[in-house]
Amino acid sequence: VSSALLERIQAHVFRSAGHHLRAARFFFVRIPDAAAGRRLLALLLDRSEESPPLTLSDAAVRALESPPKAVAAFGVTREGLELFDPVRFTYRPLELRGDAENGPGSPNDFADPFVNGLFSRRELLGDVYPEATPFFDGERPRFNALVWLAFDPSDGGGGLGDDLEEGIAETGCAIVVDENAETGPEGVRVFGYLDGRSQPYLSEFGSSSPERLAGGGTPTPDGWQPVRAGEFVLGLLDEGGEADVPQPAAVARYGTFLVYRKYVVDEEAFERLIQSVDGRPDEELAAKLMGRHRVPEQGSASLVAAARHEGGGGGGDADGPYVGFEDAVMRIGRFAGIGRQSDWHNDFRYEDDTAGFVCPLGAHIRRANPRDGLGFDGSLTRRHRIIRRGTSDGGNGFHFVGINAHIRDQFEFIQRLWFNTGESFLLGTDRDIFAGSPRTDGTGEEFIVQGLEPRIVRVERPLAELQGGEYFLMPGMDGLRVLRGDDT
Amino acid sequence: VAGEINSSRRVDDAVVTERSDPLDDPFDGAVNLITPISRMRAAFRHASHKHALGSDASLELARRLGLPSARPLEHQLRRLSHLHYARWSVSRRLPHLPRTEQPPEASPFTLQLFTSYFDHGWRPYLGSFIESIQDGMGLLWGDVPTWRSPSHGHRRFENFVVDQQVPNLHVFSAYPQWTSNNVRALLRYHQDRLSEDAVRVALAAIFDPRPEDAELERGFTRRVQHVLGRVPAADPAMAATPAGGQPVPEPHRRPTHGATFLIPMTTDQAEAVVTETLLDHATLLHDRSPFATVEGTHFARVAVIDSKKYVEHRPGMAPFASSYLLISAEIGADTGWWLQRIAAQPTITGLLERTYLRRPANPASAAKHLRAHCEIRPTLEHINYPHTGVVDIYEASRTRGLL
Repeated sequence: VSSALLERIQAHVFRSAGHHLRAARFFFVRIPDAAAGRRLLALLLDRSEESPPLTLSDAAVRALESPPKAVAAFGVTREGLELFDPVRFTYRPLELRGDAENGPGSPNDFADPFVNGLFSRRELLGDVYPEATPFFDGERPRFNALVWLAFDPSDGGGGLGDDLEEGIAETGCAIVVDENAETGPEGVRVFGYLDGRSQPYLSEFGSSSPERLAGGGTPTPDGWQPVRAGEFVLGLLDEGGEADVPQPAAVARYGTFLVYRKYVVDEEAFERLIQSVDGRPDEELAAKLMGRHRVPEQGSASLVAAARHEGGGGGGDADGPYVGFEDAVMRIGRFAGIGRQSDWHNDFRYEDDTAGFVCPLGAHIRRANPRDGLGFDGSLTRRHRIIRRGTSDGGNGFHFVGINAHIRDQFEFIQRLWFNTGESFLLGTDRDIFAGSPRTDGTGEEFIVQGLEPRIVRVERPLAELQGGEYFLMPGMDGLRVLRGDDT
Repeated sequence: VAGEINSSRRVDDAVVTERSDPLDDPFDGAVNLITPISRMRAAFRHASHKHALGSDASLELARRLGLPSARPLEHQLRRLSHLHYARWSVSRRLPHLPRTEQPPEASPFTLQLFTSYFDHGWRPYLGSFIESIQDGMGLLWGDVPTWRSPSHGHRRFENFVVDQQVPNLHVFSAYPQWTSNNVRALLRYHQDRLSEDAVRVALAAIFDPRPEDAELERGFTRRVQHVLGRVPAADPAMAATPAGGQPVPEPHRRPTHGATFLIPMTTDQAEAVVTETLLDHATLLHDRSPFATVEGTHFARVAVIDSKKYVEHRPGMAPFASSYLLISAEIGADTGWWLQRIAAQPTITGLLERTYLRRPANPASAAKHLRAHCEIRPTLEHINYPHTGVVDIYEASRTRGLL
């Protein structure tokens, strides 16, 4: 992929949640009309020195040069998109479209999740929202766009956020919800676990750190292959061998879909859950529930990788003995959440642990990305990966941000079929204790820790409560200019 | 090219069109792909299906001739744990009911039927399906004019599937609350519990004092730890139906197999059956389905192939002389016995009266005609748990405390 292409894609697709851009502002914006929307885009596309860029250079993505101190992004809901150009972008139901209209320039044919919005998918996803939420007004989101700023808090980045807030107000757009996030230097922690450790390894963008392929790619009988970038960027070749761009292609090409969900997590309930008889946390149980260690001494390694590492076998680790937390933090790397150095924490498969004796079948990371754990040499997972850019607000708020090109096959698939039921893992209807939707009857879950002495852990739920969210189209840079009204 | 931006457009005017997603239909798991194939090719298709199945004879023949051979499909489908069953049937010629008003069929085409029942709908598992049978897919559909191999793109194959789909008017499951994996987990727990109980009785007879119950229970939990996930409770109403609760009388009991019938009807009647919705999806979860009244029925579906509509998206293909009522079921009983029982159900009788059968003298006569002239035998069939009756499944749920 050329630098020219990289600069047509919004930066958040590639940049890390875990590196120095530790703080974020999420401005949920209500654009009142197209003129205000164009002014907002003009503000964001302004390339003056003070304004945060929307793209990263090739060198910055590859961490060959220091990335900027802040990066911004723009996403728009379907309603917001229609506002810009009701003639070209208004969705028309399939039955009203003639064949001739399906060609280039036809009304938008985005897939249903984006067309109808997150709220409309609540039944399918098992989502439950609080009665009063700043995100929705009845069944409609109160906003139609998202401006997301990630910045380095140590460098006066907070001022950038305030400037942007002022700038947005001056365009005539209203900030309906303003969410803040800031994480510690080691990265995002949720329930004490480091988040964002494992990310897809993209064919086009990972070549400078090939050691991430093992664990980040798609498992094959012979090893790993990179995930095709089309799973995350519209218009590039995907894992199905296609490079389809939904209409209007001028806006969608090199864009992606962003899934935002705000959670409030109940850390106290979790600590009670893992409390052992002596009152201290049972870290072994905590590791079994997640599939990853959370204590610094274990470097947040996954159970399977750690077991293999401790056993000294498997894969012939080139990066020497494990030296502890500091080393692990170093290995988190500068972008994409995991290391530029060889990262044995993520280089593992489930082929030798089909019974779940090392990593339980229902552990969160095993459900979220079962790798080769579903058989068929791992090919069943290759259409169901997401890039995660989640971050925490430093308290009990967690901002889930997922990036994918096909919401239904990626985010929604994982939520519906891997988190909200255990069928794929031979766990009946058991749900993921962290991310599965709560049961309507209010009952909790039973988590089975498989082993020679199996253990059944009763979990009161929910541990995390959904507050709101939305699906956004993050257009490519060309698309943003089309929306701004530029001739292309 | 940038469009004209309408600055006057305000958000409050935005027209929001809710779109229903046909692919999220929960009944979508009961998929029917009905594909036209030339009659010339139908005979070959029988052979190719046998080959795809991987019968010893065909594999041996392929080996001798040096031909590429598909991995036996059965082995591949068995790994698809979300699939209750899958069946391919090829009609060498479209059914004709003699001594009726049915016009002769001159079309050079006949039909290949694929019926299956996926948990959670077929679409989420399309990828697995492609992976599991990709070797055999060309043998199964390869000569269909609109065939798009998954190797040309998954979404194109998905569109091919949608194009071939004929919607169901009615779907019945004797245990709608249980997925294929649930069924297997229930059966496994049941078997282990039975043997555990037998072992305990034996131990009690041999040892004094006998081993502690808690210790035995730990061993049992260790053995069944992989089938302990939560399974929904059984629906007592379903368990009380003949389909769910009563065994098939001994002389009529058979391993589970598919039975498929294409019954000719006029296109006007086909339209009427669809619009009048004599059968309703809403009965799927209920014990009121006509199929709930016949012992040994695992799954069933009814669909209509409206000849006029069917060719709408198939340019170059003339409508068939008749439309067809499709009745297809998975049953653990002798087909003739089952058919006679289902034909006696008033709803089914009403449907059969809309076909060229008109008013059969009695269910026995209807069954006789259907078997003789309208049955489309499977050429390739996969049943996930073929030697298990519906009653066995409910019995297993009782062991697990779900009933």
